[in-house]
Amino acid sequence: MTDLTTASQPGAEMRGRDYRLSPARMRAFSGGPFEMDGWPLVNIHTDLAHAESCGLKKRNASGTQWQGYVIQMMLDLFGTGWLSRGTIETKFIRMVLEDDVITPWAVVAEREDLDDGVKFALEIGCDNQDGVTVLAGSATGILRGV
Amino acid sequence: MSERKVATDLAVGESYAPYSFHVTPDLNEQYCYAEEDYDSRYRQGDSGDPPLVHPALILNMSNRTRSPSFYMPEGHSVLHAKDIIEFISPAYVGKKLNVTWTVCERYKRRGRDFMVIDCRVIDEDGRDIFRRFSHNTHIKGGEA
Repeated sequence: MTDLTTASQPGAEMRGRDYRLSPARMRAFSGGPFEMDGWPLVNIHTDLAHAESCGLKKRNASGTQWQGYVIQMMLDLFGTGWLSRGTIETKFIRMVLEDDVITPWAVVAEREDLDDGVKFALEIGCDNQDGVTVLAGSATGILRGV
Repeated sequence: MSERKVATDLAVGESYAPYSFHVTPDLNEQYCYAEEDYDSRYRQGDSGDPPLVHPALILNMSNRTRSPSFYMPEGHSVLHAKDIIEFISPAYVGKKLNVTWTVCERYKRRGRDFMVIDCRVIDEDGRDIFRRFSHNTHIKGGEA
């Protein structure tokens, strides 16, 4: 992934790695704590029959699971300080199903020079294995050090 | 409010029952696996602080479906449409986190009813972790 630096300019593109939403990882995410009696919880993310009863053809990955991929990317770009001052807006524009492969990305939209760093506004998103954008939005964060 | 009420029936200003959970190292590791994210920040503390809680764990535990009062009829489910999140402080493994949800807006779009939930996560020491505005709609069998 290309790094974000205090020299990065609008238009700079960053792409994260690929993540496959396997049924096992979906159960780990949406099934409740492993030690819970009766694990996993039955819901559209963990149980095919339940998903079908809601009109879905496959288990549907929780939006927060792949939203987590762009948040991971923000932490990689800005560092853990982002958890103290970062913002993110995400729209879930398509469903993500089991075994889909999701790739997060970000593009610098704006930058604002501060006394001790740069505040960036990013356009963010996630694409699936067909190159279709499934999540779109924006984020802000500050890179310290000039 | 602690009684179970059909999730779609809450009016603006009403709240789901709050939820508290303890972030153990095992639970954090479970979410690192789920997220394919094995960064050391989730296993080792920095500068004397405990390890960080994986943000996706907090996101998932702050979905309103976690509320003890959340209830949807069989065959119905929630579709998550949009989130606006302000991260305020990191959360640390070993702490209890408290989550509250209040309906702050309802609107219709493309024939669907949407609810906006104002969600706050605060740790056991009273530190704000994040504030999240989630826009959700609902599906029932055959609709998706």
